Amino acid sequence: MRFVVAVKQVPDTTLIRVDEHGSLIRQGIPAILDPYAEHALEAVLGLKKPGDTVTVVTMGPPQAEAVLRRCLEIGADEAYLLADAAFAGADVHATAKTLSVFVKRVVPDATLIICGKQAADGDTGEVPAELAQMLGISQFCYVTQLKRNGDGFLVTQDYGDEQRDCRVPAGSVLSVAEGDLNRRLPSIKRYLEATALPITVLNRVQLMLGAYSVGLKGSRTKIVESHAVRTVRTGKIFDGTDPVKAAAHLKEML
Amino acid sequence: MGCESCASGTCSLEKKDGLPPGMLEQYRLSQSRADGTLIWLEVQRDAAGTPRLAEVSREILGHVKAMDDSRVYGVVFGHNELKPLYGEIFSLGVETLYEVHDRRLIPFQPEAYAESIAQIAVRVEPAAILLGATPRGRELGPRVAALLDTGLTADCTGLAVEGRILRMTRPAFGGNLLATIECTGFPQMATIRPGTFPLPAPQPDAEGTVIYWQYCGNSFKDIVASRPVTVGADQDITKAKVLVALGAGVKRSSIPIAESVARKLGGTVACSRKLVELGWFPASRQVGQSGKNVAPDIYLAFGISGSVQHLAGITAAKRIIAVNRDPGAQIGEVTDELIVGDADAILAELDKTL
Amino acid sequence: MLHIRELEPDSPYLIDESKIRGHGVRLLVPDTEADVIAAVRDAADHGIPLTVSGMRTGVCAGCVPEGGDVLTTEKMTAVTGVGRDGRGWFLRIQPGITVRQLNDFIRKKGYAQVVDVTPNAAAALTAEMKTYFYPVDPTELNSSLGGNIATNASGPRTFKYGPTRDWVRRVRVVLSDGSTVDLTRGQVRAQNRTLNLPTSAGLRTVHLPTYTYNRQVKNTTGMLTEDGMDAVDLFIGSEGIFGVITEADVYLAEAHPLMSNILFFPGDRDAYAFAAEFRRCGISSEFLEFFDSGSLNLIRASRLDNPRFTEMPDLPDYAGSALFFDLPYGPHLTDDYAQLAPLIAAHSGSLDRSWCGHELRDRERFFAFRHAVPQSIFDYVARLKGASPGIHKMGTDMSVPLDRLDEMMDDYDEVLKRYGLEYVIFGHIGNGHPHVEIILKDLDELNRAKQAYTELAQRAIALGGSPSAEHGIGKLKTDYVRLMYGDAGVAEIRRAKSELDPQWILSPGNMVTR
Repeated sequence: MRFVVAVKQVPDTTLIRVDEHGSLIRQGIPAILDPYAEHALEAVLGLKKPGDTVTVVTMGPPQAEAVLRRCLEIGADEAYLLADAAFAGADVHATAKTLSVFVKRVVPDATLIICGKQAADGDTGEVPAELAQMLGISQFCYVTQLKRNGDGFLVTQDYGDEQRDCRVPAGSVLSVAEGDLNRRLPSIKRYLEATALPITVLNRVQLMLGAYSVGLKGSRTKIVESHAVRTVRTGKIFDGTDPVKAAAHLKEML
Repeated sequence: MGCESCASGTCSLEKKDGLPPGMLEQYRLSQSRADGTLIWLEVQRDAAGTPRLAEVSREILGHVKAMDDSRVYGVVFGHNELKPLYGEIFSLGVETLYEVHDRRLIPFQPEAYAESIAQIAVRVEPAAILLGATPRGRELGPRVAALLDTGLTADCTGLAVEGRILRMTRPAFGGNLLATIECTGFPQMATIRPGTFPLPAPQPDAEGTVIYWQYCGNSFKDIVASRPVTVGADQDITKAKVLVALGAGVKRSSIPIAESVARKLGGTVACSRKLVELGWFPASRQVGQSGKNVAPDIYLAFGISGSVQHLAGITAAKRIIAVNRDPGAQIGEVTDELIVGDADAILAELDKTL
Repeated sequence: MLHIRELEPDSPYLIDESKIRGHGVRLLVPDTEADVIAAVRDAADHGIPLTVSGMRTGVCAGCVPEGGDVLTTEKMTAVTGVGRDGRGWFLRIQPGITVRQLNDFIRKKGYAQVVDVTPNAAAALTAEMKTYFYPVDPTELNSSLGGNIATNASGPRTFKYGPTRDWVRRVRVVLSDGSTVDLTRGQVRAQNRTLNLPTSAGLRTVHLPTYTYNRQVKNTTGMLTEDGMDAVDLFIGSEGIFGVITEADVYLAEAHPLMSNILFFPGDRDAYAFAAEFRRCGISSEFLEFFDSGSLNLIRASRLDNPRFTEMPDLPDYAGSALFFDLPYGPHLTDDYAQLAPLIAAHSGSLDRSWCGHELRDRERFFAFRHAVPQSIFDYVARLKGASPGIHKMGTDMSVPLDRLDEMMDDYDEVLKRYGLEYVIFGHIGNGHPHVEIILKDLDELNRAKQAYTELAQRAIALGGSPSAEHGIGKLKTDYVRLMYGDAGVAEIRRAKSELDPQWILSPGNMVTR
């Protein structure tokens, strides 16, 4: 079987802080594999049987190779980077279109296509569903559990007010809600094997995508304006070294 | 291989009509006739199967009615059990309700729902299609957008209209950035964050038309089991007026003390992501970007450092008071007051004095 | 200005990580050096002892007062300057800044706000493409630099980078009469063992002890002394008995991308033997840390209660003992692994039985794993007692020359088994300084542990090592100074102390008693 996992390189948002003017300080924040995508990859690695292939793909700039390299280190078998200047400025629609063409042309035999629930840098979680529709296949979002079920698969989805189990037909798109995770570490042996695996880079022309299907031109939404908004409150500080006094003060404020 | 292979885009820069060059100008077809708003009315069902309209759907209807006076269309999926809801649906402003009448569509079927909504949208030609940004809405909306080859803005916290153009606002990066987005074509789509708009006052004598729509496809899920999950009213942190929130800076033994304090204050205990990861609390108690957005009158944060993701969930809190050992904790940037001290000790003392 | 507060009996300023509680009258909080001078003068005028307090992460009660006042450096936490000399970049810092804060500052390149000690330094360092860091990493990264300098602190990276002493360029100190002395390395040296300090109140003579200070091993027993000693070294490692450090220059090291590795071995002996060969094989590593089977089992036990303990994957069943080390993450990495592979296999390990990570956040997890061992001991004793234990372990702090390490490891096993004590061994095996943590479950075990400790300390000295490799002496280990240098050595340290602080007001009780 072939499992395809769509991943993304994002800034490590746990390290992002906000400066006095309310702007995000992004400088010096390392770029990492999106944690939700990593969950998705972990879910697949847990299912993998001998003979299965795990393919990872990302649409991004050249430095996104680093996250593909990490996916190979922790157990993926092959990696693709969809990179082209024309992909810049893509919204959800253009991203999903680019990924859908990749699937159709390069991995049409995909048994399952798996994404993280949303990307940590403010993505909206829309790509999996749009990707599924563009491929004309079933979708299962908010997956909390993925298991083999004979020759097929079973998922548990969490809709908030309902949890349900469904059988998954081959060729579906899944988006995986986060799970608890102690992130995997490769062995030295696996690391060395992964360094020898190639990352295939594909551009727009190689994917046979039209210029108006990708990037800014292929987007269906546009950001008209954005601004920082911070409610900086009064920010008083109270010395709470004495818990009794601090509790009394707190009680007064209620 | 289809439209995605077009390299020249001569047929249209703005819209994908697929028409020969020149035709747009000749027949003035670039003037879209799209008008009105189509809203997916999410129906929630309890263990007995009794349906009720999701709150966020009501909130959206209220806002749409208040925004302008274009036609309001609704689409709902189900069967005869929906009849008792018609009165409420019309009283909230729906003029024409499309009911996709099929028992098989009582459970949520995103592929079938999307096909149906898209077909109805082709018939109705709305200027906008709106859904609540519940998990189901967020799964369904993008599929419809892809079917209709249009743009969707997810999880909006603001919606304004100029003529027929929607200006959608959504937060990014933990609510510190607010982006205003427009779609490049019709229909414009958005999912709206629950709690963004107030619940409207119903118009008691409103009338409307129901049109049954037949679903002719066969995209059905193979559902093996379904388990309703109920969150008790006293455990719903999104409804609480007072929240006692615990973070990684408190000991596990403080949890019952926090619960006691919450009871005495008429509130609920919430937590940061770390405590859910540790298994101390279920995910329903998590505040933040990957948890819930809360809007209490008072948010008491004990031992919470205040990461960007956590702060995203409390921007709507009226007052924020934090207790933390670290005077430089990031939560201090949004607090009305930061008490620098031992969170466990102060929580215990607070319990004693209440 | 100098803030003054009363010290309550349960004040956190009266206790450090040794958990020994002292007593004192007032807390003095200076903002500037002038405040420190005023505080010291006032103490001298009234003959009141003054104990200096940093972040109180020490384990020998060095900052715990036995009466008198406490002077805390917590408000003096700024980086005040940046410069460059023949050796490299250095930062001018105040004593209250912690190691973590210093490295954060360097990472964020906040040099725009600091003074140029040498021309154009701030702009040049900001523009530098290379990354830098302060390399001495005591376990407690929240320790203050002032404390680190006063105790000559070490950490795992001391394996490659040496102790704090090797990174101090300059100290500025307030002496017991309120005068100041500002010394840059290389500026003032002792004549044999006589040191003349150029203080702001004139020249002051200090007679350095005549004993031989062991610099072959990690050593913090007593004060450094040697012929022609640099005056800066008088204050480094002197535990606050000679003066209060108000400013220092510390060098930065170039940071290189690194790959962290943990190799698993079936048994403790396999790991020791591999460690010895690793040291000899010429591969450059920043540190070499060891986990014995006992420590790994404690981690496994803690993870049963809390699956997120250490945030690392589950320890595989074949993991008996482990070695943790870094390698440069660069073009030679594959060669380094190729060179190590046969050595590893020769000791029943395998490249397959390992963990590795090169992203910064993964490397931080490896470090957290290493530092989780003490917590796992706490968890273990807590489970046995059914409640939070007070004293639950006693850590040894002995170092021996590397060629005698095997003998010392045998001695640990022999002595501790003879006393019927439970223990785990982990830590800086690369420096001949593993931590032997004796697990204490009751008072009887505590007493036996103390006896075992004394025997082991004598053994370490006999093998040419030090009984206090890293933790210093403070008020708890003054016996070791006598053990190493005899009564004569102790007397000589007392003499030097009396010459610089005749009233014995500065941190009295540290290193030597009056």
